[in-house]
This record gives sequence, C-alpha cells and structure tokens, in this order.
Amino acid sequence: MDIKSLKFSRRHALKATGVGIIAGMAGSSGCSSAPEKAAGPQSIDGIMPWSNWSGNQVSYPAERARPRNIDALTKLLKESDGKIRAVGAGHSFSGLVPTNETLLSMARFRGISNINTETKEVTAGAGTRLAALGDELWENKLGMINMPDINTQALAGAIATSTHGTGQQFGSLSSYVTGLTLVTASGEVMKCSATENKDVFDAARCNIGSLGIITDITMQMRDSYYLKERSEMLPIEEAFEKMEKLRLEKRHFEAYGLPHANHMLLIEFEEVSKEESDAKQGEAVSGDAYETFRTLADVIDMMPFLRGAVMSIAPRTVGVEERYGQWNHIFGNVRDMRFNEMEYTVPAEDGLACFREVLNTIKEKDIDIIFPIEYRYVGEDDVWLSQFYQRAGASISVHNFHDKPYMPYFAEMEAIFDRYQGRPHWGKVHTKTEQEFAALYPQWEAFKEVRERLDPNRRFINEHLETIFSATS
Amino acid sequence: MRRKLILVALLSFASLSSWAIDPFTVELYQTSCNICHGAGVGDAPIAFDAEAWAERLSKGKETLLANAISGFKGMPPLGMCSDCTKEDLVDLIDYMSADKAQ
Repeated sequence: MDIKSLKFSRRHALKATGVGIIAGMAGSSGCSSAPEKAAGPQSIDGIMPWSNWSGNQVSYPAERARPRNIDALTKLLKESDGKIRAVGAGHSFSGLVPTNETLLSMARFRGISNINTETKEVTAGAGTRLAALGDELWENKLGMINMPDINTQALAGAIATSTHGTGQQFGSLSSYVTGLTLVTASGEVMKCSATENKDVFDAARCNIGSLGIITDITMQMRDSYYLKERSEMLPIEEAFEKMEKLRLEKRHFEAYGLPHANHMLLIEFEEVSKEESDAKQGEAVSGDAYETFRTLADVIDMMPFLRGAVMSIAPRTVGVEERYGQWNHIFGNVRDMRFNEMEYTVPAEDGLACFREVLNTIKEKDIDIIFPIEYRYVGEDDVWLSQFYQRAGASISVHNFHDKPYMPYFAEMEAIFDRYQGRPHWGKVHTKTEQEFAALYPQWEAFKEVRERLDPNRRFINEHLETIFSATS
Repeated sequence: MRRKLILVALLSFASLSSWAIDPFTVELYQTSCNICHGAGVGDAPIAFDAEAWAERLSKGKETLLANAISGFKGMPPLGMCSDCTKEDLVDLIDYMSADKAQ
C-alpha cells in the first residue's frame, strides 16, 4: 500500500476516518498532529504496559513471549501452565487481549508460506498483517475476494473476530478460510479443515482467541483485479431510496450517515479492467469533501451550538469523487485518527430500518457526536460464532474519538441494536454476556464443547472472556 | 532495580557503533513504524533523518522510549506495534535515528 499517497489523497483522507477529517478537531490522531502530551499508560515498576491502538484497553503482562517457530510455541505451551493471550495488531476495542500473565506475539509467523496455483488457496502466517498480505498477493497476481477497509490487522486477529469488508455477496474473512493450524493449550498441533477436525475448524474460523494459538491460515483467493470506487453525498431520503438498489447491484456498497445532518455519503465499488483503471488512475476526479469537512470540524469546534446547522449545510457542497486502482489499494485505508468503536450486525432485511433509527435517535436525543455512522452489508456464512452465521447482515458501526467519552453514546445505540437481534463484533465495544450470546448463536453450545475440550484449564480465558465463557455454566 | 539495570544496558548497548541491525527490526519498522515515520506524517520525525532525530535524542533515549510506550503527540501507545517488547522499541528508535536505511 502506498501510505504516502493515502495520507495526502483527499479521497482517502475523507475515508480514513469515515468522513472523519472531522477528527482533525479533536486531537485524536493515530499519527497526525496533536497536542504534545503523553496520553497513554506508563511503565510501573519497570513493567511495560500493553495498550490497544485506541488506548481503551490496557494491561501489564508479566511475560512477553514471541516464539520463533511452531516448535518453540509448542514447547512454551507444554512447559508452562499460566494464562496466555495472543496479541496481533492491537486493533480490537473489546478486552480480548489484556492479561497480566503472558502476552504472546506471533510476529515471527509472518508472510505467505504456500500458494496453490490451481485452487488459488494461499497459506500465510498468523501474524501477517492484512496490508502486507495484500502486497504479497498482488505480486503473485492474486487477490483477496474481499477485504476490510482497515488493513493493519494481523491475519489471525481478523479471523478470530470474523472481521469483514462490505458486499452482500461476500462473507467475512473467516468464511474464506479453508484450513488452519492450531496449537492447543497442551501443545498439541492440530490441522483443521472441512475434512480434518471439522468441528474444531468450524469453531476456530471465528475463535475469539479462546481455543488455542493459530500459527497459519489457508484462505481462498482469486485472480487479482482492479476496482473503481465512487462516492457521492446525497440528501438523506434520496440516499435511503437508493441503498437497497445499490446493495443488490454493486459489488460492494457502504454508506456513512452523518449525525445531525440531512445528508448521507454513499460509496460503491465495482470491478473494472486494468485498461480502464490505468486510463483513469491519474485523473483527479475528486470533489471537495476533505476541505468541506475540515472546515466543518473547525467551525463546530469553535461554535458547538452551530453543530446541527453546519452538519446540514456543509455536506451539500460535497461533489462526486472517483478513484481507480488495484484491489488492495482501493480497499485499504489508513486510519490515522484514533477512535473507539461499537459495531453490531442486524439481519440484512432490517438494516435500513435500524440505520434510520440510529440516525433519528442521535437527532432526537441530541447526542453530542459528529463521527459518521458506517453502514455495510455482509453475506451469510457457516462459521459458528461469526456475526453472519446463517444470517446475511447489515453491520452498523458507531464511533467516537479516542479521547472522548463513548459509553453513554454506545449504550444508546446498543439498546437499538438489541431490538433488532444485533450480534456485536467480537473485537469492538459491547456489553453482551454469555446468556445473551447463547440466544444469538445457534451453535453456542457446540462451540463451548470444543473450547472446553481444547482448553480444559482455561489458559486462554482472560477477564473479558470470563464474562463470555464463564467457568460455572 | 534489576529491570532498570537491564534497560540501561539495553540503551547503552544499542548506542555502540558496532550495533548490528537485526533484520527483524527492519521488518518491525516496515510493518509498524513506516506508516508514519516513513513520510513524517503529523510531524513524526522522518526515519533515517539524523538531523530530525537529533533534537529528540537530546532528550535522552529513556525519554524517547517512555514516549513510545505511552504514546506522544499523535503517536498511539507502543507506536503502531502492539506486540513490541521494550527491546524492540529501543532497537526501532536506534534504527530510525540512524543516518540511512540499512
């Protein structure tokens, strides 16, 4: 990925935080200019803290392990008996990683180890970052069938949480896994696929880091391809009218609803030929979204009482934007503004009603938020704990800047999602516990049986997972 | 005390001219640091620009390490390397503050 061009492209700057150049006002950057302050946790008695990307999860691991290979990993598991949590890129907002015992890095398990040119299945190390995987695949004339718009995650972390992109005909990344290697709490190495250890495979494709340590993952890929991305700001009712059509007709489609506004940004993606992409790539077919929202953010920062008026008027000036390029460059975005996020997936057929209720509630309750709400479609799959298990979904994501309170806002939204039988993204903020998950997931008990069989001493259960897989149930 | 001694030893060792760059450090840089330090995004000191790093280094490496751990200005805690160890961060600071990519 060309990070530099991403950073300075207006189109990307817009998408980088989901129309979130607004965030410029908040000093909430990931690597952008911000007030000079040490915002995060400090070392205590020489113990280095661990923190996730947004900073809402912190722990003080007594040990940090980074095995060099699978032999070292099995030795570590066999010769120790304490709690272990694996960490990837630290992009989960829920408490999946924190531990005060052993934090395990899979950074030595990176890169593509095998390509089956006939089936287009690719095996990569658990610690491979999605962006790097995209680059390697491109070099081999291959492409991921779909990809999230954040691509800094580690592959195993993305799979563990059923991370997804958008497109009603595509499942989450977990649904494209065709095989994996899992090392259990006792150090046993298990190869898993649809024909080998099938129950573990169905559980491990979205495992929340609770089954063991995954060392490599095989995924179905396809030939490389080019994409055209087109975004357009529309009046909200016109946007709602078009969304169902776009869902069905476009390869990928997503929307950003602007809080307190009467407009919505619609983004669609279509596959194009190399020739079309090459011909159009150099053209600056860009509107003025970046400038519009930076101005908007500054004005709201100075005069918050004008929020409603500004959010309604400013989007009208945003024009159509288009860009072309190779698949991994169009999908991937750098999120250089830090935020916390909640995401729930509701049944696809209820998506628009739920999305409308979210936007209306923000207005009616005058919730102090300007971060756009992301709306995506994802196809159903057969992965036991995937949010899309036997249910095509509409995923709705709400955010707030990393240094602003987020729970009161998220609580209001979670109440709406609950009314639509929403399933939370495992890696994002939620307050669901075991009883609720049992009602949301038909294969809950089957997953628990596999989990308890592979990890009887609960080595992979941290404080957060105790609320999901309690010891007494 | 033991941890402090280890840290001092690490910082001292890293400053020796004979320090050899671990390929793994280069990989960590490419994976986590280049995203901001490659282009100087948000006033991040550009990697391998010794002049840009001189001012930072004058604060002392312990300060730079503490900033990397806790986050500083626009940099999130641990930079973008959630699974880095203290030793990794020291290596990365030395790598990026060197004259040019090796």
